[in-house]
Amino acid sequence: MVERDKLLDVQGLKTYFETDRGVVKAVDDISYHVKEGETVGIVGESGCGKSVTALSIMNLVQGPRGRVAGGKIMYTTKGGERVEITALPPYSPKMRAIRGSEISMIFQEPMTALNPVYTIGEQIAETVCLHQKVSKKKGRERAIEMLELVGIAAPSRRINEYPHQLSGGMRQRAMIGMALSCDPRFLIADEPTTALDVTIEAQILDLMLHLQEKLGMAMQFITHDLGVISTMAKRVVVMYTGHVVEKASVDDIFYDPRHPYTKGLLASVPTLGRQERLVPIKGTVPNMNELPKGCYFSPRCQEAMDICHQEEPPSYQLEGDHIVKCWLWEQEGVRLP
Amino acid sequence: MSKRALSSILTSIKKMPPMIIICFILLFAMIAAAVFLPFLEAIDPYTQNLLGRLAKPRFLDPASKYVLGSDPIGRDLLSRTVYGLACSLVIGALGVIIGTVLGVSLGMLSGLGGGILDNIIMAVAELQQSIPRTLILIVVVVLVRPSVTVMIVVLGVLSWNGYARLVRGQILSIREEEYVLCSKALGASQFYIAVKHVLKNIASPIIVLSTSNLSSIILSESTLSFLGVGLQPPAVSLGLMISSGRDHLATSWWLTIIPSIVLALLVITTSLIGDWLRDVLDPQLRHGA
Amino acid sequence: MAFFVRRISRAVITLCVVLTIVFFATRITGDPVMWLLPDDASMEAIENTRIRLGLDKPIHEQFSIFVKGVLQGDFGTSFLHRRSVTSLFLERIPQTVKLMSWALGLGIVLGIPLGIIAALNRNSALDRFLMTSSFLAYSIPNFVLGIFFILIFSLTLRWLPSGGYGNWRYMIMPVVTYGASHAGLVARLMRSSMLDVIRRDFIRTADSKGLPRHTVIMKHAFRIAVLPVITLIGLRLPHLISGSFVIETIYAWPGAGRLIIQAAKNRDFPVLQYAVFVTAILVIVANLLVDLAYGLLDPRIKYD
Repeated sequence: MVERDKLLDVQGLKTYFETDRGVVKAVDDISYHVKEGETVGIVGESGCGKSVTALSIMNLVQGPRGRVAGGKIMYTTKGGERVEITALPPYSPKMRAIRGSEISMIFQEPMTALNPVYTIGEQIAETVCLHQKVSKKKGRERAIEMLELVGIAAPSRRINEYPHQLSGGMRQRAMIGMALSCDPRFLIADEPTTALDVTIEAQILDLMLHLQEKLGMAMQFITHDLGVISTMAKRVVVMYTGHVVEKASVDDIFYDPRHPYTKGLLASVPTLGRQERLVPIKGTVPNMNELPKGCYFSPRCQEAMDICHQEEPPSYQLEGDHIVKCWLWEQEGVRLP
Repeated sequence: MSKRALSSILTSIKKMPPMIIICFILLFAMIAAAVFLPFLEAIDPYTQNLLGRLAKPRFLDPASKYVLGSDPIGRDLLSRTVYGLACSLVIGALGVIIGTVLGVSLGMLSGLGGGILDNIIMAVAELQQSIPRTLILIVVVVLVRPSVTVMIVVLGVLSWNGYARLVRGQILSIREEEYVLCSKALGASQFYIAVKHVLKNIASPIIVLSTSNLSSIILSESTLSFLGVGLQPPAVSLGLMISSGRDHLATSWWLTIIPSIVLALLVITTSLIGDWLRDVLDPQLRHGA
Repeated sequence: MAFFVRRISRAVITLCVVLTIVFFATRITGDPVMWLLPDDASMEAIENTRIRLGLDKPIHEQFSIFVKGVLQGDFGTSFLHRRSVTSLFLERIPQTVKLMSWALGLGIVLGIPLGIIAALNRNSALDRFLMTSSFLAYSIPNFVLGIFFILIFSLTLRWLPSGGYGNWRYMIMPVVTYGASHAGLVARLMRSSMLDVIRRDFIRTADSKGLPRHTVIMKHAFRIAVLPVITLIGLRLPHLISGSFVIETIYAWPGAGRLIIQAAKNRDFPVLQYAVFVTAILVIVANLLVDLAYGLLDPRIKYD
């Protein structure tokens, strides 16, 4: 594949946090890429490093405690320039020009992610005025346009309302409108529907698919919900305790999963028309301060071999673009460096 | 004190920041000085010596008869400072005890009694809060001739408020909790429930409140005495010493500065310890306060 | 609006109760005439003074005269100054307000930025330095700080006058002494409030829009972080008045605080009554202002 096609290229990213009890490797050597206009799903249980990956892309891993400790994130801008995001200072003008304008993000909790003391119109217009250097009036018009785009009725009235005056679904729509207001080419959605009711969730997902089709942006969709991923993503990255354990097309993940963790996840998802009992993965996600030896999944793994408890597995390339980090594929797969 | 509070204090002592260790050492030194020096010091704080007026302290004049100098009528500044310190500590400690006992009992009365009693007690608390404490103190102290006893009682009584709210709030919040209902079902009397469960739960915040009250009572007394509406001469108080030394500030600055430093140290150490206790015992209180 | 009506009527009741208590408390605990006249005053002189002050009448009659007076804005005549209490205070209050507002202004202007700087540099040497100094500034008693200032800046360096009322040079030390404690307190609160706010989700959102750091802090975080500071300033207003007793006494500032202390020393009850009245009103007004400020800054709060 040509490097140029990759809109976002995460190469061996390591994001570490210093805690009182030692270094937590929240993201430890992960690689994946997103091509223009495609949706990549990132799946994993809470605490697996999905959100930290997103924040690393936004260059918002902050404070004295968190840092990108290795690897790099490359991003190709609208102008075709390849930028190494991880090399930019978080508040440098160049980074800020990417954030909100090239790469946007929407968050899990629409309640807390919007500033309670400004109207949603002000919050949308702020982004537009900042990146497109337009007047307040133009910003306001754009805000109305965006609210209309995300399906909020009576947008010229709604923009004067404060977040607490809107319902959860409305807030998330406003949040999406805000994220898309500067025509980003890449949208990171961090569990955007987790906090919503199921019916609202379906509406929001539908809206996002529709908008993606219309605007043609690429998307990184983060969730713990495999069902959501199946409708949203073309390719899937499965994460566990800071590692990418499996990477494949959405069809391969659902019909031909190779990693025991992915299989476990699938077995614990209820599906209409399937009669077998749900099988939860036994055990719990290990504490990030006390990770087990060898493969981090080995204590919960039904297929674990001796080596799994001793040594961390390498990643293997299987047929197609299917990559799995598991000793079981030592024979079949091609070991990746 | 509850076991929980005690054990959390003990574990925190191991992790005590150096600053707090210094504070404790200073505070104990001051208490020890206040307790023992009156016995050891030969010169008493009231004896006047007209020949030894305005003597310099020894750090300025090594030949001086007085370690910390003497005042305009020849009274020993060291023993006066120590007496003043003792006075502050006694007023502070007894005031806190009065405030705690009164506040906790009124809070229990209010919380358990409910109804009109609760309304009256809370109305009084609100009334008191609508007027600055110093002004209330001034009015009260003007009405009743201020002596050490009066100061202790007045300052103590006026600090009832915080304790009462604390206890009342605690009673209201745990009254419906399961283990209280349980003991009710088992036939425990209301009073027994209150004492056992409420006191156990509020031990930590009470300690925190008491420490901060200690420094505010000490500060109130010295402020009033400094303003001339608190203790009156010949009583010995740090506030009075600071006030009367001001006339000689240009020539004999130590008359004012030495008691000022002692008072400042006392207030700073107690409030630092108070802050530390609050962090250790009750992290939520920090935001609530 | 109903909210404010309720608040104000409650406040009026509080005021009436306070005034009644103060009135009776001052009348039953001693005879002010004894303090006003020399020890060897004749019985006739005592009696005359008593009649002049209206203290010869039965207490209920005194009370009804007092109530009528209060309703007309007349709080009686100062025993000591032999003038109307109201005019006495009207003359002194501007001086106190001048001092208080400068000091409070200094406290806010200094405390808020320092608190923000400390929060943004959390756990750095700068943060520790700022927090230690603000702790000292607000925990050292005002009069101790004032005396140190006088000793250093007027007696030793001879830069500033040690007290009295005059041009701006007379205001520096009182304002700094008074303002330091507010600055310390405001800085500490601003810091912890800011630390609390910058962890919130909407700050991450603001960051993710690509806003400059100062916009994120000053526009998105500040308006919420400042709310507890406003409450604090409102709640501190009573302390501001107590502080004026000390500051005005140390620096011989001719304000209401010194008037009150003088009145206390001379059992000048009408002045004390008025002082209690005025401060109670001030506290009530301050609380209302805090509520109003909240309503303006935080759209989630609606009073109805």
